[in-house]
Amino acid sequence: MFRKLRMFIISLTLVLIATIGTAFSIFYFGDLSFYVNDLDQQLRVDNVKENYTFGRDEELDKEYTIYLFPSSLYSVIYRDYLNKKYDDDSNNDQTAIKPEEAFGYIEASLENGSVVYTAKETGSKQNTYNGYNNYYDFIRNLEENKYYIRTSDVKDNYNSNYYIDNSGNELNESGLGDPILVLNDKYKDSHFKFKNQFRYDRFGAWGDLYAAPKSNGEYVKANGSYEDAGRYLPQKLVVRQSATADYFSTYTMEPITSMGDASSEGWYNIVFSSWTTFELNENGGYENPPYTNDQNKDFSLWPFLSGDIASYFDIMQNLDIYADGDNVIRLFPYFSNGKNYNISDPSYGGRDGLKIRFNNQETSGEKYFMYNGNTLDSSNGLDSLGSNYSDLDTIHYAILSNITIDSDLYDISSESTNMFAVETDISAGSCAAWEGNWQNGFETGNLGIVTELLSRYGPGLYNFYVFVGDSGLAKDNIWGPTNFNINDVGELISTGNSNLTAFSELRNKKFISLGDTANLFYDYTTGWWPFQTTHYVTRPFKLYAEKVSEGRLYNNLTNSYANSTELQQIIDNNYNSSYNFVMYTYPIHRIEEGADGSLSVGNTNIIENNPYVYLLRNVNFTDVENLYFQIRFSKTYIDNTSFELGKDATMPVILNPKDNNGSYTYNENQYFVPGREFFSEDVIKFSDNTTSQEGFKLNNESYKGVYDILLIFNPSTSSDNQDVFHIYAYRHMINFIKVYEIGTEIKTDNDGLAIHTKDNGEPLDSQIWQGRANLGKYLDPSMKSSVPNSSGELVTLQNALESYIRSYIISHPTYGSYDFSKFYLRDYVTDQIVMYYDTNTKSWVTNDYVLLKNYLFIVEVVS
Amino acid sequence: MLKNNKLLTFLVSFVGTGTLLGTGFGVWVFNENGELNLSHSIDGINVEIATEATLGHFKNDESGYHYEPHILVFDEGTNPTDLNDGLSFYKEEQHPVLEGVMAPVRDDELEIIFHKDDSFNEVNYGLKFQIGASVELISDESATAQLTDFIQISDYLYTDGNFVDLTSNFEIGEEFEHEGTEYQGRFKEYKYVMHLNDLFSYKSEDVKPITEDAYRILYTAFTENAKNKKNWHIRINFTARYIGD
Repeated sequence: MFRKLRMFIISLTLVLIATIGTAFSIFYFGDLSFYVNDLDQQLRVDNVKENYTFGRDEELDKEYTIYLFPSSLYSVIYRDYLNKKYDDDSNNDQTAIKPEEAFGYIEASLENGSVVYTAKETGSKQNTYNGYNNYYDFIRNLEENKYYIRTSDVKDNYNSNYYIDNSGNELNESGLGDPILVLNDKYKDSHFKFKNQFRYDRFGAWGDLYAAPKSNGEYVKANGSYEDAGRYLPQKLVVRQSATADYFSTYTMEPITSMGDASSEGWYNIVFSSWTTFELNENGGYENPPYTNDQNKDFSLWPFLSGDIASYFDIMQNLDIYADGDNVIRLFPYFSNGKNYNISDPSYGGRDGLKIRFNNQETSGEKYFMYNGNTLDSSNGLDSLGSNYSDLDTIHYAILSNITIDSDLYDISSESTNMFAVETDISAGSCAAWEGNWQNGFETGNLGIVTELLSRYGPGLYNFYVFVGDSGLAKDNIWGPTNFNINDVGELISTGNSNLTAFSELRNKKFISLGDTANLFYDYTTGWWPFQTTHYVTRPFKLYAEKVSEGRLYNNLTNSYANSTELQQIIDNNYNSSYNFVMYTYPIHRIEEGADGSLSVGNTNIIENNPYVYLLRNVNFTDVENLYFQIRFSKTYIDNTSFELGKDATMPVILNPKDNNGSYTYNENQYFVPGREFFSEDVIKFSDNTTSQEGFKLNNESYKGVYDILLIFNPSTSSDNQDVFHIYAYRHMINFIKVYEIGTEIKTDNDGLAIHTKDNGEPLDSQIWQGRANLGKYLDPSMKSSVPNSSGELVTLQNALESYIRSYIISHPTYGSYDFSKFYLRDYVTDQIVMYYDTNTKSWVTNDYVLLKNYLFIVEVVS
Repeated sequence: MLKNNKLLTFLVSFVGTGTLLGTGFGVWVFNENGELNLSHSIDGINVEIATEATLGHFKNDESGYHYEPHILVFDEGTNPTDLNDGLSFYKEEQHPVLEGVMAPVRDDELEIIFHKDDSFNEVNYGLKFQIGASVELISDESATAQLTDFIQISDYLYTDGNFVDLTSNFEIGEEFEHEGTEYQGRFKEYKYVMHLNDLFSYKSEDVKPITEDAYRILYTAFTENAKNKKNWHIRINFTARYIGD
């Protein structure tokens, strides 16, 4: 028998099995208990090179490193890095420090069910960069000396003798918006360290890694290890494709900070609102993440101040939009008390604050909205919204992103304490104090926000939007404008009125209207005492929610469950956390039919401004026992999300085709057909006569395979108001099955990879057949080749093999007769016999060998 | 017999494991902190400690042939994020049709047969145990690459140290989950089928060969170990763990 050469038969592994029979009397002792396998033991690895790039789109299958910085102080270091990196002086490149490399980092791991954070690469880094600059030394000083950031209890130490006002050297006016510039050594001492760090809400730490001081001034351990707590260090995460909401909530923390009010000598907490990013340009330019205070805007005219809303971090987005060229994502915290303040006199607080207050059974909390700096007014289409908006000089909006709403959150309609409320600050005076005077913005009554969201859209993450109509500061109207109505403003903006040029980021958003319009109150004064006049103004505002769709796929389901509880539990248990849809943000074009019947890629990007397009790669249905599956956008099944297997019966769509001067080209794996080609919804009910859920099914067993599934949101255009996600899919193909003659020696390169073509790419001389197939299909003797033979014909595997065997027998007369049963195909990598001839049935047998990748098969003969 | 051109193939020394057979069966390892003598650890319950105890044996045919997986193939799998995907165990068997041809068959089942003497039920009723496996991933001393760098016990399995729980908790007086048959007129046999594919996974996406770079890391590890005649071993000791009464 021919001894074939295989690269990877290297060492042996031993499944070495013994019993530690333990000495309990109920067990019988003394039987054969020990066995060591002394057959050839082997470790092998697939060494077909094409299998390591096969089936994966590098564009979406990236690995991302995410750094979450507890303090926005790090953003100053990052800005310094970018400035040096992209200036003309190449010498600066060598001194530029990435913020994540400056001090080390912490990493999360799961130990006995609990998340544990461990600091890494701290000491050496900090010693290396000691003295780098003021920003750097500030953090280093905190970390090394274990300085402690306090929250509410810092008020006890608040001493007016150390009062920081804006007239002294302590606060450098030139540093407005960049408060770290005012740091000097004295702030590291005494009470200064409790104050200046937090001014401008720039500093934060991981509260969960806190080390609190004992009464004697010593520190106690935090998180089991005081020394390595890493409360000021960034957290490093590594994710592939996406970071799911579940993963993010499990393995990350929210940083904390606090803020002193220099004016009233109070100390008020501000809280983490969202993660923000630098927007990076290709040429090295960047946009800062938003600051609460925007020094370029005049407070007296622009009470709503913020940076660019587009730079907040959305967990469900395609991470590519946040990553730099090395697939690194840096997230900086945005802390807020929901207000804006006078840049020239930060001792004043602000006004028009907006927050959501929510309680659950264990904790309570407040989240502050982040205002968008852009506005909608007459210059960019406000009038086009209709006459009801004529009195609204300006419309602003604020956002609060990625808020978890689940069933343990009390609803304001069921709790007298208004557990979920949007509140506004109605403080008197030209500016509200930091502390604010919060009142419910809604007539809370029976609003039932939580109940409504949970029942209609399910638990999970939500974004909240508040649109606020500006009554106009010039108006002296004690009750504000009378002719306003912004009840439908969200829908009008999202549906993309062609005259609207503002708020493009909200185009086609699916806003969930919550409650009726409410009024936001505030007052202001004009004139000088004693001629000062107080003005009371109302502003209309409207609250919306947006479900952050956590697309999940549940597979291996059946269509029969005993009852609804079992149905729910079993489906929940079939959730594979690796199957999460990722937002797809690249163009999609539809195949169109020309007048002459020809098909071509259309020019229109059909998902332009569609914020809800999702892609799930590599869904593996190859080894499922059951053919049913389900797609959800929530942890629980919600009945109001509808899916259809493709908008048109036949027209495929092309993902991100390459534009060659108006002529589009694409690869096979960019070609998605309507899902009905593979799946059916004709048997979609899992029912116990009282409960059913929508689902899908592979058309039959032969459709087991690997798929990429695309969901395209199509909002309702009819009166039935039924929004639909259309499902498209690409079924993966294997690239080749190659069959070689008896005795073929597959050589390997220096990396042990199989060489199965000539240098010029042509087949080896010993190759007798090459074919392709859908991934997950059975090896089939009747499958046609994908490469013509020497006669230019596409022949079946069986015909090619039998033809070869006949010629082999002729050249080896000892065989005497055409007996196919002496021949078989063996897999080059695993040695499995994948096809042989059964003389009883007079047919080639594959035993349902499933094709999962590229293969090299070699003909062998029984000796 | 399978014909392979094995560049480097070794047999394994059994010295170490042979030592295990003759010792230590008078006690049961109840927890990872050490070995406890059961008769001393539970007051008021008459527990006899046997010597030379074994808990059972592995499935074998009449000729004594044991059906254990013994080939482990590392490949890229079909899902790069699923660490349980891509490790495949094979058994070598006589092909059912091709006379005289041995071939690996993908099969990760490992069947162990536990023995239980029901006559002691009353005495020991109420004691709760977990049947499990103590799994060790071992690399020869001075191996350039460690097996534990590449594979691990699957995350989703309950583990306590290297103890992997194979059964739900059971009490001595209760039946095993698996139906028993009479054995030598006194004892009952209880079969448990372990699936090695469920037991092991790649350690991380970094070492799963889903890219050429990751493949090369694995390739280098294999070849370096082979060059130095160093082996990797998976040792599975079936045992039970006392969890209370």
